[in-house]
Amino acid sequence: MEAKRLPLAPLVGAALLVAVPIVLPDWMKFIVTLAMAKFMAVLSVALFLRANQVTFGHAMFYAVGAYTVGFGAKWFGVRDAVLLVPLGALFGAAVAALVGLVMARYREVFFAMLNLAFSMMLYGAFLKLYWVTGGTDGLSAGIPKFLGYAPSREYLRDFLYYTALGVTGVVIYAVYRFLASPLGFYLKAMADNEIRIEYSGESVRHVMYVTYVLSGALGGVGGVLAAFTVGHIVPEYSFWIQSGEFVFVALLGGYGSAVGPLVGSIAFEFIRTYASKYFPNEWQMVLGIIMLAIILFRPGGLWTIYEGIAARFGRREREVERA
Amino acid sequence: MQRVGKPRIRPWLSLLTIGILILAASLPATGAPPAGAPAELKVGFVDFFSGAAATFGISGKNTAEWLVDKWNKEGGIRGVKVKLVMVDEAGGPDKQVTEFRRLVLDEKVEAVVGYTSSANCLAVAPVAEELKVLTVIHICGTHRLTEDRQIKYVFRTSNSQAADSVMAARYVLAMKPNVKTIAGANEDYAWGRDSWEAFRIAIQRLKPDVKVVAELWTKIQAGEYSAEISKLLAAKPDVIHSSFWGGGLITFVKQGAPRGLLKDSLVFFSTGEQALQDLKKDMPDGVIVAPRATSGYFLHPDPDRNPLQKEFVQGLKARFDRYPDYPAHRTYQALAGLKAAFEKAIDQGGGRWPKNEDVIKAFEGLTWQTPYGLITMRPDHQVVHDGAVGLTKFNAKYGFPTLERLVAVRAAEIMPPVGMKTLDWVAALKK
Repeated sequence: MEAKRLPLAPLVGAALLVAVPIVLPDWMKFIVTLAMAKFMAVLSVALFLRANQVTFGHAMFYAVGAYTVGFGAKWFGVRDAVLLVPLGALFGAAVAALVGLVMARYREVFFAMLNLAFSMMLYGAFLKLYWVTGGTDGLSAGIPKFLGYAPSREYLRDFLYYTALGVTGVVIYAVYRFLASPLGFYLKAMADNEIRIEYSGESVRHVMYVTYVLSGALGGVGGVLAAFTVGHIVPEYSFWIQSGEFVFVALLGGYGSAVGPLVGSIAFEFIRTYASKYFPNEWQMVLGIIMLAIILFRPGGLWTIYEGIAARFGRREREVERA
Repeated sequence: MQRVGKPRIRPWLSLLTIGILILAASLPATGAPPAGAPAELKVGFVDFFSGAAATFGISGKNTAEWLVDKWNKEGGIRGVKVKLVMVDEAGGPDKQVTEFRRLVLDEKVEAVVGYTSSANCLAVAPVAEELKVLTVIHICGTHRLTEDRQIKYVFRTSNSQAADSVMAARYVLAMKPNVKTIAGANEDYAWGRDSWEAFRIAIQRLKPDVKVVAELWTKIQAGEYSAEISKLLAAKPDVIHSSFWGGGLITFVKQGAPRGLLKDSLVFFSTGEQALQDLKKDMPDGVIVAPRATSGYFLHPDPDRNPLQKEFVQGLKARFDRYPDYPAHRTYQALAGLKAAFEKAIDQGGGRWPKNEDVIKAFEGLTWQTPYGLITMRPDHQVVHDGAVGLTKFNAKYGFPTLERLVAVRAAEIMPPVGMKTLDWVAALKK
């Protein structure tokens, strides 16, 4: 019965996102583009939250993606977004494959802090090698091309938006498939009992490692898109505050599904912007209060609001069927 | 009839003439706003209101509020009142780019003034070009802003940071012609690196036998400098260069002064003037301090002879209980430049409210008045002005050190000419 019915809410959501550039003013289009870019990095954090693991260092993959764009433009003159998105994923995954060799062995506070340590090492490198990276001044991302085509300024933002939307769709589908796979279920099972996973014949370290590499690729893609959206790359991309923001947004949106982080990212960017608008001096405090409210009243994140509504409707429908 | 009428008409006629003359004379001040003018001119003002750089940002914000209130009382820009939209610069370039777009597309500001951090001004400049918004950078010092790319909508109303370093090198050599050894204590990021690099190259160009005995790099706003101070005391350099700023500078002075660091060597603080009112007696006498290559200082040229300066100094003191420091002056420079550009554009356009492009055209080559003198915008959208540097001396009248033996350095001596890259220019310095 369920399989035949088309999932209505995701379709409505997708339709809304497709319509954003047509309906909403330009600056909101920008915010949603940036939110989609950051969503991928948030998703990389959310994967581990499912396994009850917090990471305060996942901004490092985001930074790897962003600097892929910066160095691509600076050294090779490569500015093609269609080329750089997979390249960012590749570099993110490569760094994750290396760091993950260590990380897959650790859990909980050690996992959180070691991630932080690695990301801060990367931050330090971007800061110190300033004749290569431009130090705090950073690098310019340049104006992106799309398969060799350079759109005019009027349409550049639309191109970026739909590129980000397309990648978001692919990412949500890929992560959805991953979470629905045995490995994805093992990841969730880690939160309950690791020993059982080992008994059932799967290696927890393997689950961790594969997830880690996947999260690296996600962060890398997010970094590439964010670099093009913002246009400027600075070491702060890998700073711990950025990692903290990803955790914050994952909790805000909810990590129970692949869509929760997207909701969280879009909500976060708008909350931050409006907080700055109406409370230019206290915008950080507003963010803190909202986070507090979410943790107290909606510990599963904003996404659970939707899930609650959907469940209520679902129950009613099921009751009707039963009757 | 005629004989009676004539004497009667004459006084009326002359009264009418006088009336018209008075009306005409008072028109520019109280007259109707230019044709096509908006109800108010919305200007975004971006500076640090939170975090380590807030010592700068609050000073800029205070100045902006004071200055705009003053203008609005005087009738605004040709009858159009100015409204500031404040934005906190803290939060990183992605937040700044978002906020910039919101300012322009949502709040519909006609111009944006601000940006202290180099990373932020570099991030915002391309967006300003994309959205075609007049943007006046007030403090950010990286020479890359005006040298790396063609800018049309972005203007910088103050010297770039190389000016501080070159000015320091010239002042040090004038004070101590036989200097042999120098050392640097700077923060390990682009601002600190570039400041020291320009100073070292400049002084070695001007006096080739100068040797570097120590190069110290600390974390941004480290807060603990005992190891660096020990190392500097051991190296015994003739001159120490430091571009520490804000809280870091205050800590460095408080930790270094009791150990004699600021007496044993001649020390130069490129942003020192900003911290004097906070350091008070903790800053020893005889330290070289500069208001970051700003053409004046709240006591220089002379508030008693210069009405604009007097109004600025006394106005800020009265409202915020603090004398203007260099971020305050740079904010004034930027906002006054914007106002002058609008007014010139209105005059050139025959009294109509100008379009964005007209203001830009008016801004290029514009000369305008600031509390410390006239400054001019070059065609490359970079202002070049004189610098001032002096030695600290505790001043009982003010309760904090003021600058003595002040030297004004001509603009051409501290900034490269149009079209020349800063680093090439510093590397080819001549006496």
